[in-house]
Amino acid sequence: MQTPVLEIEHLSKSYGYIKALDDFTLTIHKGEVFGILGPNGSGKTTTLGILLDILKADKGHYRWFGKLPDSHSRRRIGALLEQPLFYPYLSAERNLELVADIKGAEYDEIDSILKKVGLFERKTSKFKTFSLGMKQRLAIAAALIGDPEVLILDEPTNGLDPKSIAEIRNLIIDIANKGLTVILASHLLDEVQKTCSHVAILDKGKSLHSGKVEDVLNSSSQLELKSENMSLLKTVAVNFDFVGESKIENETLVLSLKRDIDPAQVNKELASQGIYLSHISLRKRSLESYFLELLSGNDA
Amino acid sequence: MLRLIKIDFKKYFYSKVFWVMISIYAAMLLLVFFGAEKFVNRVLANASTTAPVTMPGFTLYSFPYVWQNLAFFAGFLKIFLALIVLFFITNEFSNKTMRQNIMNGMSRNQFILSKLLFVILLSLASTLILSISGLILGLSYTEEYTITLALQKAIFIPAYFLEVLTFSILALFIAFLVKRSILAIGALALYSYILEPIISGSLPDSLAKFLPGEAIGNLIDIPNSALLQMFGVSFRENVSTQDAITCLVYSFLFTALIFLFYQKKDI
Repeated sequence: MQTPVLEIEHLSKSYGYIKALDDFTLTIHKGEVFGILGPNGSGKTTTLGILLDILKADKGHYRWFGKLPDSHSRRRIGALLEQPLFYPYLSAERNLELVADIKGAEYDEIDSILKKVGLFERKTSKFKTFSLGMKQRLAIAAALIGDPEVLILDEPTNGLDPKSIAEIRNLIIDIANKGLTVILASHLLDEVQKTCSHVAILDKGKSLHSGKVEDVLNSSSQLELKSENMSLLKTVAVNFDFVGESKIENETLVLSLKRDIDPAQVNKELASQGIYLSHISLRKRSLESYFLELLSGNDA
Repeated sequence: MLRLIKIDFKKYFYSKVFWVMISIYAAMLLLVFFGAEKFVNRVLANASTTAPVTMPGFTLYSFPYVWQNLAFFAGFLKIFLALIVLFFITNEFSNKTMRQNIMNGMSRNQFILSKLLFVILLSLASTLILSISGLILGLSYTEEYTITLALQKAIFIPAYFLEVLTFSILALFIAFLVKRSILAIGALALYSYILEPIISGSLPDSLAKFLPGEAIGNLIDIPNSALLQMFGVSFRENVSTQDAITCLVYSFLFTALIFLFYQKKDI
C-alpha cells in the first residue's frame, strides 16, 4: 500500500488548563480532500500549527510522507493558517518571490498563480494596501507556490464575499481534481460537505468521527416506513442487513441505515412478503445534523 | 548560507524604512569621523581662553592613532545599529512573518541563523565604513607614513567589529526574547543604562568587568591624548585579550540561548 501523506498519532497539546488537543489520531492518504470540521476553539488550528512546526505538541508525533517531519517536508506543503501573513511594505509579487525563495521554487509560476487567484493586476501593490479578501487570495496564492503536494487551508474563505467564496471553492475542487491532497479546516459544514471527500470531526480537542463524507451522510440517513400492520413490518424490516437502529415515531417506523440503499428494492422486498407500504421515504441527513448530534453527545 | 542571506536581504532591500535608518546611521558615522577633530579642537580652543596654560591643538587622524580615535567615537553610535536590529527582528514577530517563513519551509534554526547573519553583516558594514574613513583620514593627515605605521594599531578595527557585534547580538537576543519593538527597545535601554550600571556599581571591579556592557565598553578605551597626559591620566592603548574573550563568550552565549530557546517553543 502507498505510504500515507500524513500520519498523526496520539497528538496532545495543552495551553495551561485547557486541553487544545487530546490524543488526536488521523491518517490522510494521497488525493484525499480531508476536511477537519469543528466549532471555533475545537483544536483545528492547533492541529495544523503542530503539523507545520510552529506549535510544539506535548505528546504524540506525526509523519509527513512517511518520514519524521523537517523543513524539507514543509517545502512540499502549501499552507494558509488563520490569517494571511506577509511583509506589509512589500508588493504582492515580492512577497510571493520570498515564499518561492524559501521553498526553493522558480519565479516563473508567480504570474500564472496571481492570475489564478485574480490578483495579477495588483501584483505591484503593497500588501498593506490590500483589502481583507485580497489578502486572503494572496495567501492562497502563496500556498500554491512551489507545486505543493499537499495544501493546508485553514478557513480559506474567511472574510471573502459570496462570489469570491464560490471562486475559491471551485479553485479547491480544481486543485483536488489534479490529485493534490488537501487538508481543509473549517467550521462551515456546507464548505466541507461541498468540497471534501473525507472528514474528521473535532470538538474540544477530541476526534469524534473520521471517515468518508459520503459514509457519514449515508450512515446517518434514515428510512421511514408506514404500513397497516406495523408490528409485522417491524419484525421483517429489522432483519434487513442494512438496518441499524430502529424506532417507532408518530406511528412511523424509522430505520437508521448502515449503507446506501435503493428504496424501490426495499418496497419490492416487503411486498413479496405481503407487506404493502402506505408510506416510504428516505431521509438523508445533512452533515450538519450529524455534526450537531455528535457535538451534543460530546457535551453530555 | 548564501540562500539565507539572499532571503533576508530581500526583506530589507525594498523597505524604505530600512534604507532611511541605514543612511542616517552611516551619515552619523561619517559626520563623527570627519567632524571629530574640528569639534575637539574647538572645545580645546574655547578652553584655552580661560585655562592658565595654552592647550595644544592636535590631530586625531594621524596613523596609527586614527584607528583607536575613530573606533572610540563610533562606539557611541552602536545603539543606533542595535535599534535597527531590534526594529527589524521584532517586525518579524509583530507581522507574524517568522511563523509564515517557518510554515513555508524554513527551519527554526535557519530563521535564527539568517538573523544572526544579518547582524554580522550590519556590523561588518559599520566596520567597513570605519576602515575606509580611517584610511582616508590617516593618509591625508599623516605627513610621513609607512605601511607598518599605518597598521600598527589596526587591531582596533577588529576590536571595533567585536564591540558592535556583541552589542548587536545582545539586541538580537532581547528582540527574540521580548518580541515587541517598544518593549525590546525599553528592555535594551533599561539593561544598558540602568540595570547594568547598578549591578556593576555593587560589584568589585574585578567582577564588574565581566558584565556584558562593561566588557563591550572596555574593549576600546578612551584614547590617550597629550591633553590627558598633561593631567597625568593614562588609558590603555591596546585591546585587552580578556575583554575580547569576554565579548566573544557573551556573543556565543546569547546566540546559543536564542537557538536553545526556540527549539521547543510555540511561535
